[in-house]
Amino acid sequence: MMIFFTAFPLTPQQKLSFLKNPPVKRQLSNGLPVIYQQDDSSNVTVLHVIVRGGKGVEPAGKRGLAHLTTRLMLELPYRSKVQDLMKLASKTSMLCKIDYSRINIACLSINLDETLKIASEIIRKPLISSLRINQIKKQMDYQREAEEDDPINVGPLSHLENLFGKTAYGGSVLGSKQSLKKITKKDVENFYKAYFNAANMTIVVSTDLEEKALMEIIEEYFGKIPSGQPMESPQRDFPVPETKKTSIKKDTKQTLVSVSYLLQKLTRRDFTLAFMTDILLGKGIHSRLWPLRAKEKLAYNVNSTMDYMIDGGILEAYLETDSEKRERAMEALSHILNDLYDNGITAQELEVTKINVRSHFLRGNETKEIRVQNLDFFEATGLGYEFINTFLQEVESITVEEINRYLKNVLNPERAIFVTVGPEEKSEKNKD
Amino acid sequence: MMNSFVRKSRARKSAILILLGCALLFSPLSAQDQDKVRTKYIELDNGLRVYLYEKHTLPLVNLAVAVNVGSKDENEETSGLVHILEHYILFRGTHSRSSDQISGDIRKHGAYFNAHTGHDISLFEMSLSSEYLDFALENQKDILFNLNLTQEELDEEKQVILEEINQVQDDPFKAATSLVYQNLFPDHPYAKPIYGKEEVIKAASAAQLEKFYEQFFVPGNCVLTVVGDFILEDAEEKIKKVFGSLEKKEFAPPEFEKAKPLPDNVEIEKEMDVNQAYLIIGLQAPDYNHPEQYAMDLLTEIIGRGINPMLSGPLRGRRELIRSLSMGYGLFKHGGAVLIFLTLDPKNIKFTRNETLKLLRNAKNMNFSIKDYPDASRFEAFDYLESAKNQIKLKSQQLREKGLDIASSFAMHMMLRDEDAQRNFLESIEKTSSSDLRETAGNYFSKGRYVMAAIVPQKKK
Repeated sequence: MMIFFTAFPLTPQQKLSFLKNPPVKRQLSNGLPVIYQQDDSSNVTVLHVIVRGGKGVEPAGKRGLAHLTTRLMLELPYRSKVQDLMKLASKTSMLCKIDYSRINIACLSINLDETLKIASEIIRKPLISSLRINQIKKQMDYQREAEEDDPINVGPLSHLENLFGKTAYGGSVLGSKQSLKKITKKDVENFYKAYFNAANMTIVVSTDLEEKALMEIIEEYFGKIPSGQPMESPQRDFPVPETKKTSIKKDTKQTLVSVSYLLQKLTRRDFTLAFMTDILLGKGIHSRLWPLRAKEKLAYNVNSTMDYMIDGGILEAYLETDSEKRERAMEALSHILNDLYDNGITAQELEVTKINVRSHFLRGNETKEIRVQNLDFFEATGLGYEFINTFLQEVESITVEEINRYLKNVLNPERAIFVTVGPEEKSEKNKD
Repeated sequence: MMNSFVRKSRARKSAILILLGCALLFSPLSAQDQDKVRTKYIELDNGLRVYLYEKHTLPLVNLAVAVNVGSKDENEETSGLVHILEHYILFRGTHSRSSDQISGDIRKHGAYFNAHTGHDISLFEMSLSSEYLDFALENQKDILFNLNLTQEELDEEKQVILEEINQVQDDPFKAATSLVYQNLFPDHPYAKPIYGKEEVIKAASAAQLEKFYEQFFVPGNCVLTVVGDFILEDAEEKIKKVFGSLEKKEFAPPEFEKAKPLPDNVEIEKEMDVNQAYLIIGLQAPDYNHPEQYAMDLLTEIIGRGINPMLSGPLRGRRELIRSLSMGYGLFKHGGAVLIFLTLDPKNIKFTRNETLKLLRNAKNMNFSIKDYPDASRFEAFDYLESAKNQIKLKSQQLREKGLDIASSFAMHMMLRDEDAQRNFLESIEKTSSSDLRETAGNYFSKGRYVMAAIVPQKKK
């Protein structure tokens, strides 16, 4: 049997927009922006409240403040309110990023009104007490310990430190035991006052509800949030890191072998190129990293990730390998990355990459939860929510010359940062 | 697969199919959904069962092929061969294409391509742009029914599988889960590790694999589901054209007994380089076709899931015994398991175990619904049952957003359900009462023995 590959051209409609109902931007009476996207694939509403107060704007020495403050917004003051949310089966959670924090709400659409009545009240009138702050600090310590238990999470944290050093971009959003100790109730109150207002927040919703009905509910519960003043975000530049190699000891069977590169300031074009590089490099079968698994048999898990913030990002390529194979893995990984840097890709590989980017992007926007997360990211980092519907056009417009220039710029071997997490290297032991 | 531009913690992909709290995945469509969605069931002359489901939200098509072969079909000498076979099918060559050609074809079509091995079945998944449906069908037929097994390629893939096993052993919860399953079903095929035994994997021959492959990879032992942006009639015609040419082969699936009750409690402790303890407490539970599965689903939601599960009370509260809690329900054809996952300070393990078991043992006497209370005291009671039903409704709705989840769920459902089972998951959940929950808690939590696996920090030397 023969299978022939036929690259079907994209229809103009597919190129322009993949969402039947593209998102639109509205505003509440207090100026709070609402991004609304209708999707009737389920009777579920996903609503995120984005706050432009992430780890990146924490005062020096107060790492963990943004996470702590946002986490307080989930602390319902009365047991009866918790039970009301439980009865509705509505879910609330939070996430703190470098550029923004967010509160996530998901519920059956029929329960949205009752859910927001409870969830919005604590955002408008949080109970900021020393007791609650200390409880959350303790939870953050536990979370950090859990984060450190998994080598695959330890690697990226080390890259953040190496690439962004002592700036607010470096380190975990959970801060450290020492930095949490320094955070006072006053710090939390000030952070809340500065960022939890209409000028620094955006609501992003994907729902089956009609726009009019939805906006009425949101106005009811978020329309009274104070208008506030937009907060300035400092511009950051990152010097070339001094530490090029870090080895973290962990008594595991495998070793995480990882290489990262700094990405320049975020623009739509740079994001598109970084996204394409990530897909090209490590996503799926027959990616550039795939031979490390299929041919070299070095690992089960080979991958790359791209994490972008406003003032810079990280592109990381990694694999988890038997600790005995660590050196061979590092060599093989570097070889692939350096080859991409030296020789770039062909026009044919670019076309295949575009097909993969497209299907990856479609799958990555299939559920409401993930689509809203992507809208959050675009809007909070300044790329704009509309980018979700023009991203594929941007991809189509990338030429082979442009991506090769980009690869030459980003994958410079002199700027590569190496991290390994695993048992102590035998050669190092011998030296001792 | 990266689902978002926003990186969270990096979960590793797992090829092991352990279904926890996913019973609702297999729910057939409700009458309301059937009005909205065009679906069709067909059975080809060669015995292949096919289910089609139109979903036009995005230009994607999703395929799942479930094969009735899993670790249950292995013995001590063959433990791990199904897992190897799953890898081989996915990543190695067929009689018409080399492994390199196949991976190149997958890449050219931008497909997500994966497979999973479970106790009962193996599942092969594919998701790609809907314009490539023809390719997807041809590709899945080729890899599943035209495999070219060679010792050379097998030896190469073995090394990747051994890396996968090492990865599991470095992950505290995965390592603990595997230990619980190996001890929860003594003297039953489910007791074998799905990943397989290292010594069997290292010694495996192409001839051994061929035997499994010839026996199980026949159309009558498989289910194909296709979900996505296509016209039902067109897809049906294509499927008949591609898969209809496969020869019909006689197949009598091996028969298995139901898992027997656990005779004694089992407690296992393992040291790893971790900061905190990872604890799993597992008990046997109703199997996939058991009428009490709905009550067990609801009990799982009530006791260990949601924003403030019942178990939080004794374990968190003032004592602060634990740091995190979740609960899952794994349903298999011949048995079931509930697993409670906890992270905690190692010094709290015994107390936590006792408090957890105390609550489980008492569940047969609990009031789960406000209807259990006299009218006068209903105002202060919490309706756990209604809350759990709503949580399941929410999850059920959310699962319908993702085409591949729908395809995989239906493929597994069609493979695991008993022929005479006529049921609708959500309707059955709705009909379940508080007394049903007490009865099921009595049957499984009060009488049932447990397996506890604890991963603890290494002792300081």
